[in-house]
Amino acid sequence: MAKEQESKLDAFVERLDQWFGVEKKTLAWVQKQLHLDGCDVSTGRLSEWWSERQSVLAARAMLAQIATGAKQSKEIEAAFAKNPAPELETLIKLQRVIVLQLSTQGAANPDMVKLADQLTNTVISFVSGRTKAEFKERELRLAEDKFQLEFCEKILDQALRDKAAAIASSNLSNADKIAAMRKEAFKSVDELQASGKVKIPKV
Amino acid sequence: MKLDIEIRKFILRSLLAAEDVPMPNDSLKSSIEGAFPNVAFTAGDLRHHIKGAEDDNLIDGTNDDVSGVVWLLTPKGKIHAQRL
Repeated sequence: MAKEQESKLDAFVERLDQWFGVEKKTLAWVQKQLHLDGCDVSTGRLSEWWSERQSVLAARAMLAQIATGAKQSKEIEAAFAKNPAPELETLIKLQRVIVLQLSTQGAANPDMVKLADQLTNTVISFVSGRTKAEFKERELRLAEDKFQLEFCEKILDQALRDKAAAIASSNLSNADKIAAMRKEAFKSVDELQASGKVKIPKV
Repeated sequence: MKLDIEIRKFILRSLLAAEDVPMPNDSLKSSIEGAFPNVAFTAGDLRHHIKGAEDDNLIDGTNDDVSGVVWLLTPKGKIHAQRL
C-alpha cells in the first residue's frame, strides 16, 4: 500500500479510477484529458500515481475481505456456542461452502484458490488425525479389556486351586473328594443350569 | 525501505481488521501478496516481514492444532494499528 500523500491528481481520483480501472485507457489518452481539464502532468508521474493507487485499492479490498471473514468466523463461533458441538458432517458441509466461496473469488484472484486448497488440506489432515486417534483409543480399550479378562481368569484359577488343595488334604473319602472337586470346578455350570436359562442336553 | 514500512503497516491493519480472530499464517501471507500486487514476493520475503513484526513485539504467533501457526496483535501492536 502506497503512502497517501497529496497530489494534484487526487482531485481527479474518481475519473482516473474510471479511466484506468474500468475503461483501461492509455496513459497518453488520460494525459490529454487531464490537459483539457487544466491539469498538466507527465505520463511518468501518471503511471507512478496509478501504480500507487492500485496498491491502495488492493489493500483496501483485502482489508474489507479480512473484516468480512472475521465477522463470519465470529458468527459461526457464536452459532456453535449456542448449539451442541457440530458433527464432522456439519463441519465438512461448512467447509464445502467456504471452499466454494474462495474458489469463486479465485476467478479474480488466484491466491484465493491457493487458500481454498490449504483449507481443504487442513480439514483432510484434521479428519485423518481424528480417525487415527479414534483407532488408537479403540486399540487401547481392547488391550485394557483383554488385560482385565486375563487378570480375572488368573484370580479365579488360583481360588479354584486353593479349594482343590483344601479338599485333597481333607479327611473325605476319595469318592467324596472327587464329588466335592467336581462341585467346585463346575459350580458356575451348575448355577447356570439351576437358573433354567440353559438346558444341558442329556447324552 | 518505504515498501517495508508500508508492508509492516498492512500487517498491523490486517490483524486489526480481523478483530481478534486469529489469522492463519498462510492467510496473512496471501493477504500481503494480494495487497501488493505489483511486488513479486518470495516465501522468504513474506517470512521476513512477518518475523520483523513479531521481533518488534507487534504481533504474536501461536501454534494452533488445526490451523497451524496463527497470528494476533499484541497490546503494543494494537495501539500502533489503531493509530494508522
